[in-house]
Amino acid sequence: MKFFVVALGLAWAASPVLALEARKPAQDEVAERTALLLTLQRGKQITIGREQYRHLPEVFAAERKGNQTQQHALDAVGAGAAQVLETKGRLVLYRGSAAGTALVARVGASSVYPTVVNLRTQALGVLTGTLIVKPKSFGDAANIASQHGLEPVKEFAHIGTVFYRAKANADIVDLAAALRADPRVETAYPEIIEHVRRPR
Amino acid sequence: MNMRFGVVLAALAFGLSGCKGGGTSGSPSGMPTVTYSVGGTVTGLTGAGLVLRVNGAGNLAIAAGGSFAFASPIPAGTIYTVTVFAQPAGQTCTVANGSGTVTAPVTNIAVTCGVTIGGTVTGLSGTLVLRNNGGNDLTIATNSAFTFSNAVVTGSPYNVRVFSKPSNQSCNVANGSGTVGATNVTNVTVTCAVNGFSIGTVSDPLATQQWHLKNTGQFAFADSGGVADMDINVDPVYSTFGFTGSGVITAVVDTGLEIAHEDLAANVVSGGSWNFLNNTTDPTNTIDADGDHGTSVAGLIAAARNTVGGIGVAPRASLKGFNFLSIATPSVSQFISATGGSSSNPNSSDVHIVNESFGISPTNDTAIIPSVENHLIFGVNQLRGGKGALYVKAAGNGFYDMGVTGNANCFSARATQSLASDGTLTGLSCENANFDPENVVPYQIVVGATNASGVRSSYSSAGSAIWVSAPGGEFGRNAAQFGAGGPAADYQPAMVTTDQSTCAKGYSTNTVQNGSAFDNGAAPNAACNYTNGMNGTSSATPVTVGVIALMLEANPALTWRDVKHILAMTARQIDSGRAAVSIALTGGSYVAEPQWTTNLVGRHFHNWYGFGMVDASAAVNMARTYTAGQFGTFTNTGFIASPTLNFPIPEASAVGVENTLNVPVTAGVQVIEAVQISVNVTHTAVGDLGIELISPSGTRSVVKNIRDGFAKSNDLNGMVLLSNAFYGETAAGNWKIKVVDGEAIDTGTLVSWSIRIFGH
Repeated sequence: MKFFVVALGLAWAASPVLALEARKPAQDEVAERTALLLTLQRGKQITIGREQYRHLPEVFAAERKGNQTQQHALDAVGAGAAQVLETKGRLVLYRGSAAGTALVARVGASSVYPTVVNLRTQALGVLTGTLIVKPKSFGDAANIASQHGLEPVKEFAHIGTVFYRAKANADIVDLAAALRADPRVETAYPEIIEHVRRPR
Repeated sequence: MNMRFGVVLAALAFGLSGCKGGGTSGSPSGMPTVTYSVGGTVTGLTGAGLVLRVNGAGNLAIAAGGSFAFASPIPAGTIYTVTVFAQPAGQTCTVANGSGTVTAPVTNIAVTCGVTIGGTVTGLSGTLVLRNNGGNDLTIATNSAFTFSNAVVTGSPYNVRVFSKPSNQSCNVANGSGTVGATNVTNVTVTCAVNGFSIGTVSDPLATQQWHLKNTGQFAFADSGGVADMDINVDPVYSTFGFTGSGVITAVVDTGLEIAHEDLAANVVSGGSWNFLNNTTDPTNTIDADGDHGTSVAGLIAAARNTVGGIGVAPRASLKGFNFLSIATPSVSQFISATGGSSSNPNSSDVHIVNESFGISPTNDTAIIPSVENHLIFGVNQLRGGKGALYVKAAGNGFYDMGVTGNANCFSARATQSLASDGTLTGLSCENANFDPENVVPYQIVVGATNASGVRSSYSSAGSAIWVSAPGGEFGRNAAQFGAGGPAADYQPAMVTTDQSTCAKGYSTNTVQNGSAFDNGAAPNAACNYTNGMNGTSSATPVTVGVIALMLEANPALTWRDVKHILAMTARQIDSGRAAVSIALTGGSYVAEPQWTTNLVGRHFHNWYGFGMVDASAAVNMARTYTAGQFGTFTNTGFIASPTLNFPIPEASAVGVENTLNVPVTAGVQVIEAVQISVNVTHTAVGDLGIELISPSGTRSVVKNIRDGFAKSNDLNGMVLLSNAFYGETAAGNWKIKVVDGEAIDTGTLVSWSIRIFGH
């Protein structure tokens, strides 16, 4: 942690009395965000455990590489003028100019990721293109991959889980649904980044 | 052929054959039995009276050196054992290659007659292996006389040296070599001593500024100092026992690790790290010019004892770096790969302690990813030879600020905060350590941060998931560089540790203003390879990892639960007079953050500190003689759920709403190691809500404080919260939940809850 000091310094100078009055601005922020989310087109639904998500066809994520700025990252995917909604670590979530499907697209040397909204928390998430699958038998892992057009990323026998990557132009939500319908599969869901672990 | 049959055949064979090479004799079945001679060579014999014996019979008197063979051959497949039945006068004979299974004529038995080599060992604490003449290893575990098993022929040389020794000791051999004469050598002297050192006398120039190791009130290149002795008390571990973490492998799962750093390279496992960005074994940071968090974390664990920089808490522990936090789209698979779940590309499966100086700060109820939880369960059950890896994790830095845009989530918490008379920021924590779902499983050791004055660091998140606390410091600034007028914490010591090398990158540079002269490349940091500004629970975590490394060196048999237990039992109760935080609500004053509590079995607990600040000396002392694995099987009760309640939560009321669940004796856990609850609440601003749990013994633990950072979030949907406050108490009985609404604006209901108790 190195960048915290400015916030602390400023904050301690503020009067606690201000805090008592700050509740309304907080609620206003919620209202503004809710209003923004309501304007976004909703796509296919994904259910993972207790959480339900909807694909946001108009919202995408680009990744900042190396020392890239946020703007550079957007420029690299041809979205330099897009409205930035939020960032998650090195991911920049923006509202695109047109709706897209739930696939990871390559734009030059960069990737553009589809996004979702958590219907309970209204948090945005990024579909990474990875699918987390628990086959009923580990011996079926390769066949499952070939049948569903997946690239195996890593197998973890100790938790009975295989990580696959969706091939180009494959709709991740459809893939997850097809995997769940496969009798060889115990569970399957797309990986969604809602929170990015940060140094503390 | 099984052995029993072979013995029968051997007995028969002695009476039936005198053949010296291969031969045959009768067998019970009438089939011929193949037999072979057994013999070898005697050297050095000068005295009379040597008698050799094979398989407890068949004595053979030897009058002179040279080859020999027992009179009776032995059936093929039979085990033979040759011993000295009678020693010659004035000599000792020993047998090499004296046993085996007969498959051909045996000719390699070597009987050496001469004198024995021996002496005494003193000062040994652990296991020593001595080696004579390049072989004949002798394992010694006590301070006593010793004798090598093999004799040495008169006139031949002997050369005794230390083959292996306890990692924390030096063992020197005196009178260890020479030419043997006619009498036994008994004067080899092996003297072992602890490789003790003291922080005040090491050659590492920054060590004396590392207040977390030995706090003398030094400034650590900041503008003010702390309070003497408010440190982890590690100096006695070095000076008394000489433990340095040797043999313990730690994983720095972070932004990077500069494996060639001058103060880290000696402890970096060659080829053992992983860079997820380019799939190589060098995770040196190349993407962040303004600091590599992982390199600074690594220095707190295991900066080497040398002539540069400072030292880590465990200055000979091994380091592996995994730059998981630098991945733009970090996958669960990469998390698992970095934390013990992968044996190649990368290999993290051999790590003993995983440093997790990271976390998430959600502003709403967030559940742990099942694959992550399952992996952690695997890690504590299977890694480290089944004794379990230690997962050590930062509690969070959100007491004041959760880093959310506009930080509107923390206004209610801030309204409760003020500076106490001792300068400590007190009040209610905005972020609760229970917010991060990876903090609320018992497989993690969650660490809070303390400063050089021995109280909670101004930023350190509070919460009942904290196990212990450790130094994390404040901000280490100089007014001359940073500007005057900030809060006192700005100018109080941070942590002095390694920084990514050169003044062109890292936290220390000479290109921008970094807030302190030290971090701007002033002496003694002209090369900018170190920083005095590292802080956070990110720093408290590696300090704790270092202490655990010392414990594991002292007693490698400790299980993960043993380590947790010892840390809890030996933690130092600091800031013992800290007052509770009470808020006026309808119905009275509500204790929203309790003072130190003492549970039924005498464990002290505070949501700021867990069981207290780690005490390395006390922990290592306890670890040294601790009987590992005494808790038996780790189990849990499963979630025991309430029915649907839908109890309205009274607004701004200290009375709150309560419900009780019974945990039966038959639930499978007698003694508590951790308690989880899962809560379903409807409410339009769950940050208003405080949730507390009261044990059958009457111990009260606030698992979520009122007016926290969930200010803008609706509902709790099975949110899991964990408390360590009940450690050691009895599980069975009636457990009570109490939910309090700390504000008068929004309303809601307690829908249902459930409880799961972990322990034995």
